[in-house]
Amino acid sequence: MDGLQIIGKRIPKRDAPQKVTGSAVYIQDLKIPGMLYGKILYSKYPHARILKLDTSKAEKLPGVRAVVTATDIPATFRIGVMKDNPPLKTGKVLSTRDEIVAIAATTPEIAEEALSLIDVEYEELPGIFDPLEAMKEGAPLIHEEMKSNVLKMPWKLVCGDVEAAKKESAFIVEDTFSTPWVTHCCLGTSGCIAQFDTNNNLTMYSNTQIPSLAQNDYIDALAAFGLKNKRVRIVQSVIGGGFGSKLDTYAYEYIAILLARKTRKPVKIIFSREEEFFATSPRQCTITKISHGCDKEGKLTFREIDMILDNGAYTSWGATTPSVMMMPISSLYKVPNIKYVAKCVYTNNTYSQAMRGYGNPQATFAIESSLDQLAEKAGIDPYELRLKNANEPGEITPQHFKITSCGMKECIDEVVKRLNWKEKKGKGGNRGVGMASLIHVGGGARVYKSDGCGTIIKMDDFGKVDVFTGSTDIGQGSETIIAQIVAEVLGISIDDVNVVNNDTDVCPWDVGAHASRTTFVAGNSALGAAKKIKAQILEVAAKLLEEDPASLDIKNGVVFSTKNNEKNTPLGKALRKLHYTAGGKMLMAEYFYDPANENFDKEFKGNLSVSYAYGAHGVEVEVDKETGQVKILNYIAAHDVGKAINPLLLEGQIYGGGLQGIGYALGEKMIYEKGRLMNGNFLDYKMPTAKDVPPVQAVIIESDEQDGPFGAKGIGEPGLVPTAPAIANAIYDAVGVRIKDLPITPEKILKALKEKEGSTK
Amino acid sequence: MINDFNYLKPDTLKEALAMYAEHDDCKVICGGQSLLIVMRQGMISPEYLLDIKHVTELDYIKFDKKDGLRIGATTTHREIEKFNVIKKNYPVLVSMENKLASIQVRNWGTIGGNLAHADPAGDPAPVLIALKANIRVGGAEGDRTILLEDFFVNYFETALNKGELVLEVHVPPPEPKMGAAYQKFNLLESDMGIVAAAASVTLNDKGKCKDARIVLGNAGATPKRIKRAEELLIGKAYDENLFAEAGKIASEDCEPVADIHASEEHRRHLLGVLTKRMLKKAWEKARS
Repeated sequence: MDGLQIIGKRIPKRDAPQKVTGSAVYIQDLKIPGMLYGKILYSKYPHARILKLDTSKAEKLPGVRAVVTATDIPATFRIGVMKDNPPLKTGKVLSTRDEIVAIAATTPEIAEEALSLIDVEYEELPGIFDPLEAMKEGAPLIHEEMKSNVLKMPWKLVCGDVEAAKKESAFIVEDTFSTPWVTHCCLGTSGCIAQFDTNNNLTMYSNTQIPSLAQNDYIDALAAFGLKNKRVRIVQSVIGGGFGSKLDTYAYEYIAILLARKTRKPVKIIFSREEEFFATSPRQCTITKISHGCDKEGKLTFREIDMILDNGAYTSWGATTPSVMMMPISSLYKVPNIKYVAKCVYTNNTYSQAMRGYGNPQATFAIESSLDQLAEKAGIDPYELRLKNANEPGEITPQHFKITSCGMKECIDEVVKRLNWKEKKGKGGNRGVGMASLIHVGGGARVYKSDGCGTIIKMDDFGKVDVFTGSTDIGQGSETIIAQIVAEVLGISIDDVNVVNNDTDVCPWDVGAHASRTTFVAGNSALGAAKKIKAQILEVAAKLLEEDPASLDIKNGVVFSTKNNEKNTPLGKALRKLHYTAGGKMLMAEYFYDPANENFDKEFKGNLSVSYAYGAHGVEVEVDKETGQVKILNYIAAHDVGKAINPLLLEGQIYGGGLQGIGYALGEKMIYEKGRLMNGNFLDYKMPTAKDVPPVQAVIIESDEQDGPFGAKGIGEPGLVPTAPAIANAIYDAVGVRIKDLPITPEKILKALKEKEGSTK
Repeated sequence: MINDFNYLKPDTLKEALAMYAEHDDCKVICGGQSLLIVMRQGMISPEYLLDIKHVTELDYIKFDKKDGLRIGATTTHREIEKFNVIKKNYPVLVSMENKLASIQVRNWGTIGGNLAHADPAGDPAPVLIALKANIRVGGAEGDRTILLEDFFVNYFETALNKGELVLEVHVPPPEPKMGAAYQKFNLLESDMGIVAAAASVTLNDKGKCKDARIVLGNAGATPKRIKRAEELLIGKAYDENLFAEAGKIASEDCEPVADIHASEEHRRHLLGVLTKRMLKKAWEKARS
């Protein structure tokens, strides 16, 4: 790893100046000549039958160009993972975000006014808002055709023999933990512009984080709408945050397509902040019953989890998060016997989706809280219990994960050292320390049949490079990372690398910005393409310099002989020679990287990722016993990242993730009352701001992952995974109460303190 | 979406008052930090907006040892926070302003607008009432001065008559041996307070309480004085039990309502704790 010029350097994000000066073009900023504005009418009730729908007054409003309802779509057309969601509803509505009518008008104001002229008559039906209620026998069915409110997705993982292990365990703890609905809070709200050309090919301007998969979804939709065999182009604007929210295609996108088709004009739909709160798909709430055991020495013997997830009214990727929850459940620490069963349940709430961590934060909250309970019961310091059971390189976990690089112990040690754990643990005075660890996929994740990403590199006449990548920059900084990798390999300045990552007409295929995979997968893809084109360059230069290509290298944009420095040529000169010679050629290389990870088998086992990211968070808190307020005095976030390609961006991921995790732990919650969101705005939804950042130390552990680009692993999601349990554990250490239901509000702490006082008196 | 409205832009107070008297369904805007939120949520959709930002006559801070502090209605929170004389003579105002929303909001929002909006969770009112402030309001017919505590009538409702604007806040000169303190309880730094308490304590030569004020925020429809607790303190010496007793009274006499952020019971409890703590803090400041 010696002699690296650009990898490992603190290089500011390349798009930072545009974002800071306001010149970045988000979907909100984009205008296309002749463009109309689309608006959606949502259901007034969480569960109701539509008795009458009259849009005639809206249609007559001057400026209204189209009105679409369910009758404009084939009755069988459905979207989503379970194909249970028609983009426009008729008959029955199942949630307050159900789309009933959409309008395209010449201005957003007219479209809005037209919505108010639509007459809908409902017959309100009793709703079900609690998954436990929905599972009861005789509960009204949300989707009658499904015959049950429990999704037909039987999540079950069994490794070893939990029942036998229980008998042999010296200590066993059992408890129930729950987590709330929380939402991504992207500053850039969802939106798109749909535009057809004269041949009915679609261009979609969008802030999706899955361009290639969205393209596929739209092609299917066009075929269903009678436009078979059409081309779809996705052009991504600058994306103001994704966090998983833009990992699926949604009703509003299909509505924009319908309106654009009907009007023959480009139609833009942009979510207001209120819509972003109630009409996008959040992280689902979970109820987790967990049991853990260990032997006399503190070696873990088993882990058993029973989980209920509120799926909401329809099905998006949220329903598949148990597949990722299996990862910490089976493989966070060495646990030989595992049993996990999860049920996703339909309710009349909003429906859930992916959100940073993809189920891992909910599972890790239960696991790491329970581990502290077990440590207490076994009389072992929670830190020692963790160290004793920590994962190690070379291990094969019960779910068949092959652990390659693993810096978990180093992360735990850093937390203990930097928190001054041994001095501070159990010292009282309303102050306490707590920790929690994490495992996450760090080398892609084979959730689809492919986990691939393509890269094309083309050289210009001046030694500059255009890199066309399938990957999407959702603010995480992948554009900068890819530029660094290519510049490093080619021995040129990062300023000479142009990254194109926003147009399916020119960019190669990719499965999307998810699973913390972009640095690893897109990085390896860029690395492969860069190596290929470097070989071509050296071959060309070899002829020019009359040298063996093997003895040539490139540095600072100059190709030179490693044997004789005098023999050299600027890169641009060699390339021009190639272009200006009879029978010349251009230099271009492509590379498709698909990591050698495995889909789960029927038992949900297999090596999901080619490498795994580890980390440990430690926190010191002070609890005001009179008000219940928690103050974070010190926060250590240690992460095994393989190799920090750009420590500046990496620390940004850790700080951002950590703060999102703190929000999850202490304040954030979408408050639903009978299917209605009560706090859909930034005043009432308590997301931490810059002023709430506690003292955070981001600690980077480099374990040099053999398969990673320059040794790197993914870091997109891990930053928030262990935050909530670390804080819960610290609160317990400080004042002796364990809050098992997120968020840990002052009111809950006071109530628990009161109960504790009552029970000891 | 904010409705279309007619925009009125007076340059002088006289013009402003004339325009305000002339137009029905007219709202006054200056910084817009309270008004624009309710307009954007569609809670109100006035036909006219009277923008008094350019009425420079109302943008001032004056201090005189005998007269006290006078702050014009269009003075921004940020101006108050940065004004050295205020920092020196009424430090509690500065510490309150420091935690009022964000710098961006304080750069726009004005003291007059904040008080006229009459949100019971507003920060300045409890502090100003604890400092015995008056408010001067006026219309085309002339102006009048009332106690600030009498200005608030109900949730988002004030004693302003039709055609009257808030003109000025007046705070009496700081008394010797007087201390004041304010704290709100919130989940996020600089968020709206779930509840808040302001206290002022004036001591006599013997170090006993000569006068006290306890004013609670978000503890009812308007900023709420806890007179029963104030009276308890008069003539007494520094005593933590006394502060606890006052806190207990505050939690009994307040009238908070439950909402999605906290139950009524929790609010009462917190108001008691904050009252106790602010009295102690104010007393200690008065002694120093």
